[in-house]
Amino acid sequence: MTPFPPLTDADGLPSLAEYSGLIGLLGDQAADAGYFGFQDVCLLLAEVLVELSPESLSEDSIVALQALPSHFGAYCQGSAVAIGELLALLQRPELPCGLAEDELAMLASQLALDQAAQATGHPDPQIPEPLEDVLPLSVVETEFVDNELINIDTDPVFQLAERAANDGYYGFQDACLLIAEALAEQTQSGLGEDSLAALAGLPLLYEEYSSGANPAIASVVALLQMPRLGLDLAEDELATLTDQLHTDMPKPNDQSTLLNDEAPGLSKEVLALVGLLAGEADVIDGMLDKIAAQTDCPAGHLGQLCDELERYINASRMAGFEGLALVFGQVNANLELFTEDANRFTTEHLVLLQDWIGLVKGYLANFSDRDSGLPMLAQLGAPEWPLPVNLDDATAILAQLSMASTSVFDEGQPARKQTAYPEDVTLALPDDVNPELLDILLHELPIQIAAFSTAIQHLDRGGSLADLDIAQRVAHTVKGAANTVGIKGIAELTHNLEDILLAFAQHQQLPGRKLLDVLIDAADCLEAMAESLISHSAAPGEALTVLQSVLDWANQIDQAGIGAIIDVPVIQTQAETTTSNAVDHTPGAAPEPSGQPQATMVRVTAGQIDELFKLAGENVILNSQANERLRRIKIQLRGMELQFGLLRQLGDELEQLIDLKDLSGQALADVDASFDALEMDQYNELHTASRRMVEAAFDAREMTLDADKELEAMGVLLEDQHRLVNETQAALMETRLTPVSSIAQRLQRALRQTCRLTGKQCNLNLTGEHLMVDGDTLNALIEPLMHVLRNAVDHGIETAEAREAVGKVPYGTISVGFDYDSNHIRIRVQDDGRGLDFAAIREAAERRGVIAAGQVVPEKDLARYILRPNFTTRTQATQISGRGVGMDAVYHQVQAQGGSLVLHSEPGQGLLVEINIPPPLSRAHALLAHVGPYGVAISSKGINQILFAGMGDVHLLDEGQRVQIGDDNYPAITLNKLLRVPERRKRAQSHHTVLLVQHNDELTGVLLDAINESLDIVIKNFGFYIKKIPGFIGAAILGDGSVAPVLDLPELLMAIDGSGDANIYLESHESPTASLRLPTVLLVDDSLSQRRALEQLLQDAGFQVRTARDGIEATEKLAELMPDIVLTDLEMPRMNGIELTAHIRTRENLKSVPVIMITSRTTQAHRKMAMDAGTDFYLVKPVREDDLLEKIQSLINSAVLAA
Amino acid sequence: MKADAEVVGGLSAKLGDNMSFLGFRVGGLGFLLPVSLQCEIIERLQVSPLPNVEPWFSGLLNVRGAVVPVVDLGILFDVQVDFQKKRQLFAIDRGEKTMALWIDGYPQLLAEVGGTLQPLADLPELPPRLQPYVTAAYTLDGQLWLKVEFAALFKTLGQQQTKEIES
Repeated sequence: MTPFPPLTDADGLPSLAEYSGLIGLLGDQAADAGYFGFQDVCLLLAEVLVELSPESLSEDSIVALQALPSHFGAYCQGSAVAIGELLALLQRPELPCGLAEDELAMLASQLALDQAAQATGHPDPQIPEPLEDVLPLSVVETEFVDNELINIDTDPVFQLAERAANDGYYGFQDACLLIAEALAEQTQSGLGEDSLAALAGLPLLYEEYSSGANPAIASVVALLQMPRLGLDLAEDELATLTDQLHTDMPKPNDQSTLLNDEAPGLSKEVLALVGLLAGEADVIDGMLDKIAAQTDCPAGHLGQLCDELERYINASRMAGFEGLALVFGQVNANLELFTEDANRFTTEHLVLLQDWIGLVKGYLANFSDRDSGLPMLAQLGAPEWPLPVNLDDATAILAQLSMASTSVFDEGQPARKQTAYPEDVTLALPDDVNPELLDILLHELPIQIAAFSTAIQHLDRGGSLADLDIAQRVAHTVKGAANTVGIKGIAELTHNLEDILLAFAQHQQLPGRKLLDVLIDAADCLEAMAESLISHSAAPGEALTVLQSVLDWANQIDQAGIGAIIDVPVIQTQAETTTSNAVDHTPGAAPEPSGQPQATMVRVTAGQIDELFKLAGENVILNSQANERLRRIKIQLRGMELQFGLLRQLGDELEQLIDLKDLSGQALADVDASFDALEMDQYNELHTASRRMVEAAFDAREMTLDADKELEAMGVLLEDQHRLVNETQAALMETRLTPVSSIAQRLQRALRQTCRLTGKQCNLNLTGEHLMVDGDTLNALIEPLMHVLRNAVDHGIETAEAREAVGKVPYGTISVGFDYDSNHIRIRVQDDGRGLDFAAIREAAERRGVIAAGQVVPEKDLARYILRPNFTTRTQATQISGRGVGMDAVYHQVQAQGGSLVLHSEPGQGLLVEINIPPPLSRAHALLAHVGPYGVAISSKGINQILFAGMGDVHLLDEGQRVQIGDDNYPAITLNKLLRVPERRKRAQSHHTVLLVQHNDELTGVLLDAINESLDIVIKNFGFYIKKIPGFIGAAILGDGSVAPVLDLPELLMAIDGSGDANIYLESHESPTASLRLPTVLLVDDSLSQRRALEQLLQDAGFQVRTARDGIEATEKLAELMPDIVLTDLEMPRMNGIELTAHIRTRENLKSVPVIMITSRTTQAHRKMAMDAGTDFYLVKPVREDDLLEKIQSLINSAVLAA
Repeated sequence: MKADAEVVGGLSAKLGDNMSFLGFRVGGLGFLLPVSLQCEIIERLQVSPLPNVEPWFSGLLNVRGAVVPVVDLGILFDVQVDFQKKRQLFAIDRGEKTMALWIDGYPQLLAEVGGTLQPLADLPELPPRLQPYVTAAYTLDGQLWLKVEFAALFKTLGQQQTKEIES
């Protein structure tokens, strides 16, 4: 803060009245920043000063009053001395404030309170600091422009280095230190102006770098390589530094513009603009120097200068420095006089100009101070100017200058583009696009855009301001959603549309015909863009033209204001020329949505896929049923064949008998030689019948053989069908597959956050991320995995010091590996921390009375205790993993998916958590068997070998207690025992089949009578209510239509292990989820994608999230829900965020609930409205995740304390 | 689509007032279901029993390709059931949420209005495992009819079944 101007200058000005005005302004600034106590002080002083005459003030008091701004600066930095100074000032006898002692005390406590509140409000060191700390270099530079031989002040560079180090950017610190070192050896003249200008940009560069802009690194490196700097860095040194800069640099998506009350920091865009303007001022300064060097013919130079000033005027207008533009206009008017008559130009005028440009630079360095433009303006009034500024103009300029100081602050937005380029309308998806958010965007985009089109069409047919509001709000929502997903084309267009509509809404004006045409085009273009996105086709060709027209209108409004637009409707000429230029820019116009051609996609609902999947499953079952029928028919046919064979045999016998009878008949007929003709006939008929019978039997047999062939062919067909059905199922299964890498970011984020909270250092090592896993399974795995990660950091990984003390590297490593084990997904989470604390587990188990003191429990079993509901070894929950979610919850979630979880811990070496998840709805190979009266299918999971007892070298020992296979000897158990089914067999009768099953790291023989069949089955679950039955994977429908439960032998063995004691971890009947009490967040946003993005973030951070689409829905939710905190958007349909906050504050039961407003509105007016309504924090999008979480946590903590 | 999201219909639908009910009996107990609920009597289907589960869990059914658990409320609530009489398998709700129950006789249509069902001011003494899920009780010709939160009951049963049975 610059001190106030001296009270008594040559003319005795400014008067005390003006002075009191300045103090009043300072008070307003303080109030804006949330220092209401300081505002009170200012108001008191201002009141008193108006009444006083300058003579009545002592020299001391005047000095003290002048120092008020610096007191404010110190006060903002948290100085307690400043409070004392302020109070002393109020108590000065010359200033009749008339404060009673208790009033003074109250004021003192208010001052201290504000200071504390603002200090705790932003503990984040990354918050941009007030301007004066950011730009001292350019001040330095302007100083030594006038004083060439003075050594360069390196302090600001050192300060910057320190700041970079504080913020954790060590690479940048190194760069600064190098520069400072080099500078100490240099003088300004040795450096040259270019280098100086570049160096002056260092703080800006830092802003860019710390906000994650990649190009900043290159600029820093380029700076270091400037030959004038004389830094002789070897290539490898430079490479190391570059690497460091890259590693330190925050991820670009972490960046946020966090505007807050204490330090209304300048956005980097504003700083960049100011930097540009300052650079331009240097150019002008350089031109003046040239003129000074050759005074003989200034006319040409003056002309150039005039042109330069013209450009400057445009530039400063664009950047929002209207006042500066007016100042330059004034100077330009003077210069034009000289160009007309070059002889009038004297060295005196040159000095005047040089002074002036110096003052301009001074102004730019401190432009956010309301009075920083005063010296510049005063100089313009000097009588040496041929055309000194008149009073009216000066007032106008002053008004504009002070507006710039606030408006530039608040808006903090980049200057609007002038020309649309193809990259501004690209629909290419960013590489790291979040598929879920994209999905939501694609879903909501057509709806939102349709709403926009409707509103615009209403406007077209007359319409009202309400339609304008709707259109503006929808544009705002779409912009936000597009920005969240990263689709630049849509974001850019809607951003400009929103601004245009907003301008009209603010002036309560409806757009005219021409603009409406543009708006309609824009709406159509948006629709086409949405279609392109969904169908992955090219962006609409007219996008560029449309954006250009929209930009032209927006720029026109920016420059001339809305009034001019309404009066001057024709601006098309400019639009057309620029458009054609822009189109020339890219022959072929429409950019592709992305570099690679993408396959055509069809969006179908998950339900439909599930239905198809189910149908394919049914087909598998039907096919196996048909196969079963075929098998039976074949058996029957074989029976028939035998039967026919028998028939033929009988026929043969019969024929023989008839032949015999015939012979004997002939023998008998010898008595009567003349035989009856009828007898002859009879003989013939019997003979033919038997003959025919034999032939028929033969034919029948032939036919069964044919039928057999047919059935064989049918079998082949069924085999083909089986294959096809399997392929169908596999293809359908693939539609559900997603790569593991899609959850990598969330895991990384969980780890980063936990590390930050615990202050530990950790790397995440993800392997198998290319594995394709069923999407539902993967989603259900995220939460347990993140918890295992948090646990590993919180409980497993030691602090860096502790690690070094035991000879480990300071940073921990957690590896998460995905792979397939047969068709099960296996996830191994291995940390290299301290491992499980068995002593603590034992102690906790004893405390709970689960084991008796002194009871011998193997470590393997101890480890499983932590899977019991609500088991904890800690007496106090930590913030990280102690949200009531323990390993028991992880275990529960894994079990719910039919999976298993195994822990291996090596003390001092770390913990391995191995999770096994079976494929969902999967096909599996199974063995059918009978256990007593029950028919069961035994899943092949865990079965190493199927052996037959008594054959070869397989023998049962100890009455079936053990099984001997070759030289190896394994424990054995009957399947009946495993399933607790009574044995109904004679003791001597032995089992014939042995299944060698692997569970944990052991092999056990499972004994059963026989395997009836071995087949492929489709595993189904037990329905909605019965998620899981221990020992069973699910159920399968068999070929005959009956249902068989599918056994999980390893799980059964694990349950029976340790004399049935291992299932103690399951004994508790309370559900682990019942005890969860996660902090609840009510999230209110009208954009689905924003809502989902935040919901995911907050859920990942361990909050329970409820959502509402607008204020009305939120109030409905609040009627039955008492959240710990409310996060709300500002602009929403029906009821906006401010109204919602006001509503909450008026409710007795809700009024203490903290409210955070998250919005893309950056203006002071919005902020003030929000704060007035009772918002606790006002965050500007994009919000950095960590900042948000920290704010939420601190608000919840203080709310808990207050309660 | 999550199964929970299904709000309309289903067991989770609230039993509103002034409506008709489907009543079925198990032992001496009568149970009421909203008529809007999809129910069916299942005939000629074999229940496949499971080893090592709670006794009330009779087994599984294949209803047109879907696996449906069968619950014996008689065993669950420990009520006298005449095993001489023919019992029916009664499947309620649809899709994943289908559950089948053994019932006595056939279900019947009952109306709350028209004076057939007489509401009881206080709940009578009921089997302890049933008590928490009963929301209202009525009488009709000496038969007790209960409105039961079946969804909650089944959910609890499912959680119990998830745990290994003791001993």
